[in-house]
Amino acid sequence: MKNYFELFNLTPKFTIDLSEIEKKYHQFQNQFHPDKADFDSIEHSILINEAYKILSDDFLRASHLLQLKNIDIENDENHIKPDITTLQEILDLQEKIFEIDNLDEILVLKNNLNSQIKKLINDFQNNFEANKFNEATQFLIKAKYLKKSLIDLKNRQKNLN
Amino acid sequence: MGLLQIQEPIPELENKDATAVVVGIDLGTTNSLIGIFENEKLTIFRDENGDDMIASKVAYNEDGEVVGVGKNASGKYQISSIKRLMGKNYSDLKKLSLSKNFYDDLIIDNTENKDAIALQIGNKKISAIEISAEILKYLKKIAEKNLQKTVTKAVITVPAYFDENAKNATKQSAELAGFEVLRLVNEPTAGAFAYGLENQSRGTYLVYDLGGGTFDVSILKIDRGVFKVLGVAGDNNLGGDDFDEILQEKGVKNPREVKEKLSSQDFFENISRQEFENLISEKINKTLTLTTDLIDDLEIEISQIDGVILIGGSTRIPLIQKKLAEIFGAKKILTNLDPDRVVAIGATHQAYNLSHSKNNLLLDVNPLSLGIEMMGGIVDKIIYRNSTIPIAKAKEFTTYMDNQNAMKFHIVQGEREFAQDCRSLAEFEVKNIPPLKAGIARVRVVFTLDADGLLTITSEEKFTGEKQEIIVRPSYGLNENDVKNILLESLKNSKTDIENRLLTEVIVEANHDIEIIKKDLKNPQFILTESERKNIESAIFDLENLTLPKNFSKNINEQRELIDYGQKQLSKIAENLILQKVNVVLKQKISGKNVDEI
Repeated sequence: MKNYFELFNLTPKFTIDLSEIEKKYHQFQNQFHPDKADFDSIEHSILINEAYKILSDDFLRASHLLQLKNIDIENDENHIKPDITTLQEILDLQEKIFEIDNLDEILVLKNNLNSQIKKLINDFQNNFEANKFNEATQFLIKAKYLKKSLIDLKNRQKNLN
Repeated sequence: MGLLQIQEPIPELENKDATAVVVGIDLGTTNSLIGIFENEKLTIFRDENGDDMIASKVAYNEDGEVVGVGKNASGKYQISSIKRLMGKNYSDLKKLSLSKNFYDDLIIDNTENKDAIALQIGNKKISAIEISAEILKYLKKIAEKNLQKTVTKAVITVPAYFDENAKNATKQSAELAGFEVLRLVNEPTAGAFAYGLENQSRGTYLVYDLGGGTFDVSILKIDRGVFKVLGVAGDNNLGGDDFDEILQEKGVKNPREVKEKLSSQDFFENISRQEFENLISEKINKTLTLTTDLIDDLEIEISQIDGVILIGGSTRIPLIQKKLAEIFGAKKILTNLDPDRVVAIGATHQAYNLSHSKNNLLLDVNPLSLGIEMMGGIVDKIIYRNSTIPIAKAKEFTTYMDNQNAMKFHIVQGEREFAQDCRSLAEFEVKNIPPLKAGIARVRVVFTLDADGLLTITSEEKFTGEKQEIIVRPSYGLNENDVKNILLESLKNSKTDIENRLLTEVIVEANHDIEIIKKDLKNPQFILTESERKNIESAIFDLENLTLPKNFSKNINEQRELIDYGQKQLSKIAENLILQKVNVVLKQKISGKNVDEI
């Protein structure tokens, strides 16, 4: 497993200085991007792009922290499923999104989902930092499903427009 | 002029430092521009009419031969807006609601063989790629005439929302025109690059780019020379041409002129600006929805946008500026660079940046998701849109039958769930999988998008470790044979190319002589009478005039002979001066001094 924190000279933890990451990212790409580098290979540039994307996004960074603990929630083949109440909640949500046809309601639901995701990632952080990895994983998995629902909701909104 | 050549060799036409000349090209639907940034100075080249915006129009005669390019090109067939067909095939056209064009009747139905789209011009079938190459060849000539150097390297801009096929097609047409493409840059990125460099900006900028045929919106973060694209969206079939068509349907005879006039006045030829705005408001609203959706997708707030950069002639329409001001606030709308030239300016800056300074960095994204068609026609997305490029993603696949020895993949581009609704990019096959039970053989496929956003694929069979590199052939491009044939064909027609080259050579020689004689005139060592001096000066003046492209006659050979004659005249008139110089040079050589010290 690649450790993207290491690539950016950071200790793996959730709290991170985003402007510092961005600064380093620019430094690295100024050196390794094919427009800048003296060599032809684009591998380094690709790796730096990947690392920056993961480190700069709250959800992806959280998920990467779990990966470093050998818990991979991105890969569906690993069969890490949310608990039964979360599952029911998500099914209800999907149904709601399928039926929703009022733009105002969509906006309300969107805001609601965004703040829920934010809170879940916050819960993840608290548990992860307390070394409660199973609990942390459950919060993040729920966030993952809500993020998917949010995309469905946005598509629904586009179709209505 | 043999005498001068003894001492000061004429610079070779082929540039020795090949990296030195890199031009920037804005290859537009309606107009194209070519320019260079050199010695801290930006130049957009002008053609013999004095225009820097070259009409993207190619004229053919009834035999399918090119008879002209640009504004004044005329012939039996006059093809413009060919950019709209780049990378498409016949069945794509039927799916898209493209606005009508006068070349519509010429398009050949080649649905069966999935070839690049081609037009029946006289008895020839000519692909969109070849027509586009004619525009590029013409631009190349204009640059070479102005620079008096062979130009082979270029940065070319493409709409951000161009798919793989269209980008590949553009690259192929550049190759046909004799260009090596250093980079394909997205048009809004080039625009933002021009703004960022000229205004030393920092912050988050939205680029609204409405050209003749395409709409692009792009959001970038600019920070100390790094231009990072956060995301792009757009519509390849929405542009100023559509407004012309709407007017035409209402019975307006000269739609473009009416449209342009209504940007600065309230009435023109019985149409009010209000009426025009009502007619186009639906299209404008579509661009605004794409704009606000992109902001939403990127999870940024409207208040975070520091400025809105306008690109493309259509952004002169007051309604567009008004609507954007309503969303972002009037103060944030930036119009201080000419919307028709800002993309070309950015392209020349990037050309210079790649060949010389390397001070700035563009980090671009892929505009459309890339996926594989799975069983049942569902698309499994591998690389999501708005990912920073270069990027690579790996995915493992396994066999579903015992002893299965090959796997076939269909790659598509687009956001829709089903492959049939996306653009088909390419098909490839992984062969020689060892005979094993279903699910045992595992093939790891890596998809790589380079810094131009172009795709390569490699596969590795995990059990045997056998690797394959798959060349992704664009579904609707030209294959290698096509390219070879076209190049052969163009060699046959290259008489004018050779003539142009000879002309360029005599111009280079003439200017070289002028430069030296001018220098010698200032040298107090050489003694000349007042009338000798005057005669030389007037001969220089005459020769200089002959080498100016704007004074060229239509006949290339005739012009070359004129310049050649003028050059000989100059050396005759300057004979006394040249003889004095030769004497000095000979004396210096004898006494062992360097010629340069004269």
